[in-house]
Amino acid sequence: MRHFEERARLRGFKCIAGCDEAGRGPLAGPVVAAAVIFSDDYVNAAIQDSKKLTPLKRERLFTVIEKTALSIGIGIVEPAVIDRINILRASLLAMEKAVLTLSSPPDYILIDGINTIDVPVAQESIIRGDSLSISIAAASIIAKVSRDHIMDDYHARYPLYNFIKNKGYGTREHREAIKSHGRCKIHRKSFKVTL
Amino acid sequence: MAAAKSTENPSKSHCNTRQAGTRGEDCALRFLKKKGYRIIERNYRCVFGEIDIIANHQGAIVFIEVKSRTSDRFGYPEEAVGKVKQKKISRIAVNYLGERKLDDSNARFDVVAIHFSPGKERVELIKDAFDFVL
Repeated sequence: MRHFEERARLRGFKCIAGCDEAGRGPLAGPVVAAAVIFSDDYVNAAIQDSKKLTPLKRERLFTVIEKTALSIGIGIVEPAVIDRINILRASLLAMEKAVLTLSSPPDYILIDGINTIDVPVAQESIIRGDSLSISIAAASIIAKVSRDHIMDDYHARYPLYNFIKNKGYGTREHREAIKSHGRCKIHRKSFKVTL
Repeated sequence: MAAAKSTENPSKSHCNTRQAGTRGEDCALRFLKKKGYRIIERNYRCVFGEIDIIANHQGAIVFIEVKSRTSDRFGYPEEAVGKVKQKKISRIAVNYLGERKLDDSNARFDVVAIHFSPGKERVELIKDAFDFVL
């Protein structure tokens, strides 16, 4: 899990951030990205791809990462913006914001996926990076849990869709709720409802 | 060991660019108010950078870049907002709209171009100068 970080360090980079995003797929809510910087010697075998963790484990690791990381940045892009640009660009924008929000600017970024982002920092994208790099895995956990919390808050405002359970993803229950109650303010316009 | 200060004795044609910038912005503000723009923010800053003026005009949020020029040496002011700057301004705009919960409002980008020549200034407003570039 530290291979990519070590390799960047050997190339002379000193402050390496991992970056990932959550919420590309759902029908509602924002896309949330996170960037995480750990110290050189940081080890934590529990940190892995957020998709392989249970919600409870993610919550616990969220707290651990918050306490132990050198710096954490978050970027949120709202549904209206996702509709105005598109989900790919919106998720890149969220990642750019996450990186720019870091309290100490990185000199190298490891990014999950195939895209690079428009910030003036050396970077590399890694396919399945969330299961290969500890920094990206940590970023995926921070992004996922932060987004879940936002959706829990939205549940209080728009209780008809059970966002607390589906987090905006297109479960059968969620799609049926849209069919009977229509869309709410945080639904993305860029999808069609099919049952 | 006196470091050379380039600002110490500027030749007239090289008039301090910062000074021209501030003077240009003041000039632009007066001009926009006259045109019915309600100024909301001046020099709004966020992680993506800074934008000169944000205003409300006929129900739309308008992000305004002010371009000041003391000579035509680097081209005309209205040509000065290139693609990179357009993207930068777009990101700041998106950030502002999200931050103020104004995502649903109409928004556009205007450029105010000010040409300074001895004794007078020419102000030009380019409405909807470019689209969101992201």
